[in-house]
Amino acid sequence: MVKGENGLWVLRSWLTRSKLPAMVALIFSCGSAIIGFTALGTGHHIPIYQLLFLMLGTSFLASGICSFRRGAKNKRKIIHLLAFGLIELIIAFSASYAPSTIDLWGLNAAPYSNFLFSFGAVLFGLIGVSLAIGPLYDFSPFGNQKSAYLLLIIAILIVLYPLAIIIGQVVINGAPGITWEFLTEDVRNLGQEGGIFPAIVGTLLLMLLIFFIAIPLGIGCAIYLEEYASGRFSFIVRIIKTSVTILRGVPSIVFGLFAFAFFVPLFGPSFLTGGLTLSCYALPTIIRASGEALKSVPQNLREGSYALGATKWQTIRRVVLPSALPGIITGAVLGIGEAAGETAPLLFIGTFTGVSFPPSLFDRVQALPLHLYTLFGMRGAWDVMQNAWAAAFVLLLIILVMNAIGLFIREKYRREF
Amino acid sequence: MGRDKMKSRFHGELKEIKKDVLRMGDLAKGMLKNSIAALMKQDNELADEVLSHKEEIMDMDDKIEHRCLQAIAMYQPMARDMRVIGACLKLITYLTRIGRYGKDIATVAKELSGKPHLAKLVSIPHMAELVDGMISDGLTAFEKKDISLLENFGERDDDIDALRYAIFRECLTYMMEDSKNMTRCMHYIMIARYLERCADHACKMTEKITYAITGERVEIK
Amino acid sequence: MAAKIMVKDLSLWYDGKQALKDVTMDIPEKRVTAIIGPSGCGKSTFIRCLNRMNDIVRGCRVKGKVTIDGESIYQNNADVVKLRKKVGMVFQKPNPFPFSIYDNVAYGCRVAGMNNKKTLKEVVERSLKKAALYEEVRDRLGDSAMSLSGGQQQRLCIARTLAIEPEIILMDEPCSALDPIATAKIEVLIRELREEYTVIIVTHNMQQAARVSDYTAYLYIGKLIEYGITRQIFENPKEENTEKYITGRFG
Repeated sequence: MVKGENGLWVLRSWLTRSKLPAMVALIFSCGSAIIGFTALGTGHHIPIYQLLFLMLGTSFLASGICSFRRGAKNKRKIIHLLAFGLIELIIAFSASYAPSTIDLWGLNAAPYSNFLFSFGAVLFGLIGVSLAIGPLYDFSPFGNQKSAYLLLIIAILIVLYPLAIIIGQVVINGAPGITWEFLTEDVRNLGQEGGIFPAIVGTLLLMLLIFFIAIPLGIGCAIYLEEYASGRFSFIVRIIKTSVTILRGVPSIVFGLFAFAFFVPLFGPSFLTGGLTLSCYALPTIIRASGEALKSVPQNLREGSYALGATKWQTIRRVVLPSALPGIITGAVLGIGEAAGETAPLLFIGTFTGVSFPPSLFDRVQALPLHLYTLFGMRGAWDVMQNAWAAAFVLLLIILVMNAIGLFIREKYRREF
Repeated sequence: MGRDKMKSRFHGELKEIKKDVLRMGDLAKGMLKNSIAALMKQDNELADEVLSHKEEIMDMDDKIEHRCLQAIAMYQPMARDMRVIGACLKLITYLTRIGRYGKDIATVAKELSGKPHLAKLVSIPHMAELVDGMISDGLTAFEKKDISLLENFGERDDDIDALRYAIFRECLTYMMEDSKNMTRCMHYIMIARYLERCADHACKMTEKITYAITGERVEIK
Repeated sequence: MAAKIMVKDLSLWYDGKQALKDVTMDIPEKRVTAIIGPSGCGKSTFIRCLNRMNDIVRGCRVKGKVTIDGESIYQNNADVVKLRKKVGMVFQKPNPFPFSIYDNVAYGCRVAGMNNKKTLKEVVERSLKKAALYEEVRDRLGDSAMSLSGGQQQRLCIARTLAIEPEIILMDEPCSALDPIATAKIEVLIRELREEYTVIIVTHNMQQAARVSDYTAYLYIGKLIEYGITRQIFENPKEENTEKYITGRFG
């Protein structure tokens, strides 16, 4: 530290204390995660993994050293940084020495190497993101908070990403096929030409039937379970609640089988059968959601009502149900939406032909998901993919509109009180 | 838990207030006793000493009153605690008056110190002793929460009244005998009056103390 | 003065644990009776027996006799709904329904079958006036009850109870969730209600009990220790236990 070398010393001291490496580490970690993710998703692999790991390793090591020089007190975290950087460097170097065919327990690993690398990029990228923010804030609790926040945002993005892709693909592929004729004409030529009007009508009608069957039954059941079943019957209540929970887990195709065995002999392959089957499918959701909504009504509201001389049923009808309405509506919308979009329960009922409107309860009825399924089944033989995408688009639209209506009603009730 | 702490702070404060009241009682008693002694011994220095306490006793009155009011505002005492604080507020008033009478007697003592006594000050020393006894018993009862000491206050007050009347008549006689006795006899009658008032105050104190301890209101005479 | 409510040897168990032990007292008509005592001593439990709100709680067992106007309320064919119309209750935390102010006050009447619009309007107005709330809300009876302040909500609950025209009003620590100004307003209200109704108020605030009530009962761990005129209880209680509680030597 001679006077003449002052400038260099300042530069060196600034370099070894700066937060720059941490910033670089963060950016590269994000980049690594994104590249890996996209590679996994789209199947395109860019052979830059080695370079990536090299950059990551050095930047983490550097940030560890800089944090140490800055006098950070959390030695453990610094060790994490250094170790992480070291591991990445080791991977980077070992990758160049690994032969293209790695004998992994006797299996030829070459086809998997790309997958492994992109997966590794994602994994290390995410870990790196969580580690890299710390030094930027000198390991303060504020830094930890930022780090946690960032990870949560990443989690949300990971969840929304597939949703965006699905909706995107449906819209892009399906929109061109939507024409007025498509929407209003009957099926022709086994789906190659013509429209999907019967399917649309059928789905809407089925939703209506579910509304009239499942909702009263579901809400009634929930009311009984939450409000009436008293001490003596609590054992029965527990059995019923457990059964409902189990029912929710039953695969939808089993419902279809049940319908085939039970409803079809009674009512034939008809509108009623379809509605009943889907109602059974929707019931557990509706019961559960309504039950939760009823439970969330505070007990002191009920007590207030009783104290004014109301009977139990009056209390339920006038106070509890209106208060629980937002939750119940949400449950109803969810339940109907789920059921209307299901294919498997209707598979064995064989609703395939066009529908006359309005159908009687015993007429056959078409449904959009089912139509989509049959169209897809024919894709090898006939050119129906355009119509299939378009049908999917319409189905998605119906579900979205229904959810929007449900949300609107719920918000209206909620805002009032 | 927080309430307990506040309450025990209050009870500590109450104890301190009681101690202050007893100290004031001792001071008032002392002033009265010493003033009579100054009169008997014709001791001007003692009389001056009594007079010097005049400010002190009024100070104590104010301080204790302030402390009591603060305690009421802060702690909102109930039942016995409330009665005790109420009693304290009244006791300091009576004690102040007793002290002031002491001061007045001391002033007279200085005036009379030049001339000899008449008829051994008639019954004044005896009366003073009785009054001092009443005040002592009252304060002891307050300190020890023992109302047995207060049982016969009515009779004792009657005795004091009788004594005052006797002194009055005696002095009248002396005044009629010789007009040179007039000054001294007038003073004697005044002093007897003061002592009687002190006894009345002691009785009032007893009423309040009884109320504080038992919750019952009694009237003496 | 006739005893409106006569309680004899009332005992209560919650899931086997005894909460009230042989409580016996007579509550006079058209007076305010305060129930005081340390937390968990059974005050709320006691008044909830008077309108059988304890029936709602599971695992609750009651023994003894409670007579209102000469009729035992725990007998087999007692009409609980009718009882609750006679004995109204205001709770510790204000619990207005998520309806409009008007609908809240009208609730009790509607439930009882009163549907005439004109009559309902009169009843609502009258009750709100009695609860000293009318002037503050007369222009916005259609607004949600949840938009009122805590003190206003509690007065709304009182108005709601008054609308069904009870004879007895039970109040379970009605001011404990309120600020001092709101508390003062409700205390004034209680003194006014005394002229028409029999009021029983549970409170842990002794100064409030002293300010507001004519009679006071002191409960300690489920037992009635002392019951008498408020002035006497707070100036010179008979029982040592009572004295200790009132002067703050415990609880």
